[in-house]
Amino acid sequence: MNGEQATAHVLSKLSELGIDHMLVGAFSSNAYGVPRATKDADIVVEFKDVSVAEFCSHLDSGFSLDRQMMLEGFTGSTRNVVTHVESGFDIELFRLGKDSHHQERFARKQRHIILELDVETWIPTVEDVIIQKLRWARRKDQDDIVNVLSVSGDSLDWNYVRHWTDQHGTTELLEQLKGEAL
Amino acid sequence: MNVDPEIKKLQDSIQRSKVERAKLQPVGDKLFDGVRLFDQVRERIKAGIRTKNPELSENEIHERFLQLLAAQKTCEEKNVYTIVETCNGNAGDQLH
Repeated sequence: MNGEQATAHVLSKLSELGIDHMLVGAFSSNAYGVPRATKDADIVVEFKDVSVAEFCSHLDSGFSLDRQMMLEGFTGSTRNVVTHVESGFDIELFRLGKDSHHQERFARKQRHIILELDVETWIPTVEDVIIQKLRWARRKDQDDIVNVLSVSGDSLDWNYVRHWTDQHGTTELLEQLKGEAL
Repeated sequence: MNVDPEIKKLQDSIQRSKVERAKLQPVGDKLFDGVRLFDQVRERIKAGIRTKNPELSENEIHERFLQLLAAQKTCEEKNVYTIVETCNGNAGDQLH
């Protein structure tokens, strides 16, 4: 099993168990921009009736759960990391938190079916990808934003984007990155 | 960083081609490209480790690759994540 198959497997199990989820991070920015390599799949999950360990017990052998939950400092999200040992690929499970943009992003998620992998998943809207990446604003996030703006910038809901960037204090950075987009 | 104008022209031209290609691809087609690239790069890195260290077994090559990956991740995530809590059991437990 490679990283692609491992990710598809985790997404399938989430769907099978009825766990609401959304594929974010580089997967979602790749979907709307110029794809780049990534070391991990970031998935926002809403674990209601199961713990992360219970969910992981449903995965095929070859997955290893890091039982340390980590707190991410930019937006206060918590995550657990599941590693597919054979490929070295990480699947990072972020709990859906109370952050107001995270809640709205999750409510607006869009369904996609990947036929060749026989998997369905949900990803944020292009506007929400940009809004979230601006909050992180590491160099690679800024590069992702420029790529997304270059590929998908013609059809954005700019009122929605600015509503959130004004709240997050990221409007100035957004305007700067718009200038870099092709 | 100052880039030679001729190099900048070439960079922009390459980027423009990538953008045009990406515009033609449906969203769903690109969703898994990142992990596909990871899978390809992994094999190239392992081939490099194998070439430099012909005495290593495949398991040792894989361990060396995982160490490189962990080191890069540590650098990228420095000061981003802090430990919140630990579930019962030991970190890195195989699930089965």
